[in-house]
Amino acid sequence: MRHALLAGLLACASPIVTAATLDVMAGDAAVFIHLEASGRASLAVSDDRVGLVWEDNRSGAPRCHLGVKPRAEPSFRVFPFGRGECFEPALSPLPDGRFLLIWEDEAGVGVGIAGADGVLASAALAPAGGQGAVAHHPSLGAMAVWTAPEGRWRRLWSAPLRIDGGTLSPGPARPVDAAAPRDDQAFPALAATADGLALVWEDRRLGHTVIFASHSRDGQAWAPPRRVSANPSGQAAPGLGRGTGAMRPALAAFGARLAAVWLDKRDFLSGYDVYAAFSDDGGASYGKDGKAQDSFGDAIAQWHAAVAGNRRGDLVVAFDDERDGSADVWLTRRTAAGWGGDFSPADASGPGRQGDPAIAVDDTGFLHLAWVERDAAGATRLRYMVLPPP
Amino acid sequence: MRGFLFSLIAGVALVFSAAARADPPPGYAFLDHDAGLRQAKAENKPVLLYFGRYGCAWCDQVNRTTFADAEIRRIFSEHYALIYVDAEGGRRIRLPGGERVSEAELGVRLGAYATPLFVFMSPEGKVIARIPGYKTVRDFQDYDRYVRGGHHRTQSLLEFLGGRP
Repeated sequence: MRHALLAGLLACASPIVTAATLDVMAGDAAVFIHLEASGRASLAVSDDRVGLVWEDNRSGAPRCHLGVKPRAEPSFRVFPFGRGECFEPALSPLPDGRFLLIWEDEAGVGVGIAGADGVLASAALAPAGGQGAVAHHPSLGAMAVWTAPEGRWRRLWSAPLRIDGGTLSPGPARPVDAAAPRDDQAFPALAATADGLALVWEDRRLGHTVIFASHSRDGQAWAPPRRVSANPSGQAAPGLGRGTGAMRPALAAFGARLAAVWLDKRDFLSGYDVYAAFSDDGGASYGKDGKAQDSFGDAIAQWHAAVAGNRRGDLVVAFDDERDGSADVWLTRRTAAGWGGDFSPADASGPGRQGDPAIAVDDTGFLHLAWVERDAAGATRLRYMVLPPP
Repeated sequence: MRGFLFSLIAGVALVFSAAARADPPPGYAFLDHDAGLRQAKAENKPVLLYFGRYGCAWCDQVNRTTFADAEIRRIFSEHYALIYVDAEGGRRIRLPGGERVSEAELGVRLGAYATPLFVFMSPEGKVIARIPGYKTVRDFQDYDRYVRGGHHRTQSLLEFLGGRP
């Protein structure tokens, strides 16, 4: 009786309702839901509010949507945004229960501020481009990074965003790398650290796809790019190719550290693996990279790697693979002893396809997870759940 | 004539775009995904979709050997709509079911674990066979017989190859 009472009191005190997995939206076989933000930054928590962005075609064409809910509420309020066809929306928390959004639509690249009632203000960043990432730093302010076509290549651009109450004004756009592009720069991921802003992206200047990084201490200038991933460059015997691939980086600060995560094909016969590297200096340098997934996933391909962390030092990586016969969402936590082994929440595994995870870890250590499910009959759902700290 | 002009214009367009972005074999009129599917439908041709990674060694090998063969070039240039997809690309393509996905996401849908991956499809975009890895001239001649000979309607590729002379 005493234990039951204590459990009841603890349940009442908990700020999170974890009981049920939520269906944020659902559709039939003709509906396609995409969680595909650059850096897989589709889910964020700001104060007591959860924000989720995705694209779906339930109106007949791809459109961007924002779902917002207080943490304890059992459903999201959903708001469409963007002009016309809209793709790859991403978001980042602002410090006051609001969110910073970026997306690609018919007008080019757009940014916005959103709160409990949807998008409050928006602005155009560029007339063409996409693959945007945003982040807010407590003293440097907000920053957007995106890619835009430049001649034969795609190039990374950045702009500071001035937020004044309910208004949003982009500052001047600058290339991240001052040197003229020699090949594509794509899919940036951005994070705020104690030292400034950190950025990773995929880069083809070496003739194959490699993860590069830069950082900014003042929110204006970016340090010269440096390589993060150690996927081998150069020709394989006898003089073939230019190197193995690494793609779709994600980035998260956790405690005083920074984790970059990506898909890596250095083992080219078994598909992409999930690799990670850590920085202890705000993204100025990264240590030796290594696999984040466990060995049970080595023989098959992993996809859609995401990473999330919080100020107290929790770090979680999410991805999907078919090691159990169909696509499931897998998670792994970073512990003091290294990566903790992969696990799959019951609702995000089993028959059908459960994939495309997006994650956020709030400051109390609760893991927020969104993913896309498609069952054997073709029906699809965008789902969301919260997992307590271990 | 209309089909020939379509191929010529589209092929010239691809030669320029593909040279800049990815690694299709030279001397072939590979198109991007959506244009290739349109061509296949317009000309009622089966599709050879080449899913290749930028900088991939085995793609380089198959380009330099198998795709350098004159007979292979003739077979695939005359009888197929040719599509090249960049396995790590971010360009958006439209799948036959109407879904818009990135080129890399097509790899998830195809279960791609290695490049090159060759996908034979019907003119309507239905997958007939998925074949990963380096393949020889003889291999591709067999695949062509399997696809254009209509054997895929009654046999799996493995069954067909098991019965070859």
